[in-house]
Amino acid sequence: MVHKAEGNLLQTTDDVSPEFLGRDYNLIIWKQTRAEREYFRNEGPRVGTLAPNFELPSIDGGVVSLESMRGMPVVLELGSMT
Amino acid sequence: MEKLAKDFVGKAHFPFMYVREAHPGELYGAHQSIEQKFRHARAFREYGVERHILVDSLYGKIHRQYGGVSNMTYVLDHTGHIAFRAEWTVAADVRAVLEEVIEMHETRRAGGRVGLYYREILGMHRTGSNHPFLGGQQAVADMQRALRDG
Repeated sequence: MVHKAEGNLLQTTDDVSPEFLGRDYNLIIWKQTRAEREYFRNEGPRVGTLAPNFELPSIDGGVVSLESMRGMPVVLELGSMT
Repeated sequence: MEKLAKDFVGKAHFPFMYVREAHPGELYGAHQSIEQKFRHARAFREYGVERHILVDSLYGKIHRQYGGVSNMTYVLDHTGHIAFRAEWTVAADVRAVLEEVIEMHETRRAGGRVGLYYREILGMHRTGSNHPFLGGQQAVADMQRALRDG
């Protein structure tokens, strides 16, 4: 895996989506994404639809899937330190 | 959000998905390895986050699937359907929706009928938070620039 700085973005030789947000990830400085400019109207799953399942590692160990949380409401927050 | 999670123990799940740094600084910079991303995610415990912390892939596979905005929140109902989404996390908004979701679920279970309607709202919040200070002076400068330039 090779990284190089290009403009204000980190690029990599693999796992880079050709779509806008894929080119716009791992920011070196903050850059408003298209989704943010459009006030979140057009990106991501919509209200009323089934949330896409995922399986992600936990910092406490193991892998957690969204489906495993069915049966109770889920408050999913996505965030960072900054 | 931590207080909210405690208030709803046993009634809702509160996973926190750690994604890319919105305002990278010298203390919490742009992720260049998954190991670094895990280290940053674990640091949330030092700041009082007790929720289940999940770590997205280095290049944000799930974050991008969920819209790619910096600090989003989704509220899902008991069946996994999205009842609420916002591109900024405000605990009071989440609490109101969560209470509604739970109340409607209980109404259905009791044999009552629930009508659905669609609504939109443009949320507003005060800016100038010192939160990016966690990232260092570079992150602060970055946030100030972002607020200035929009």
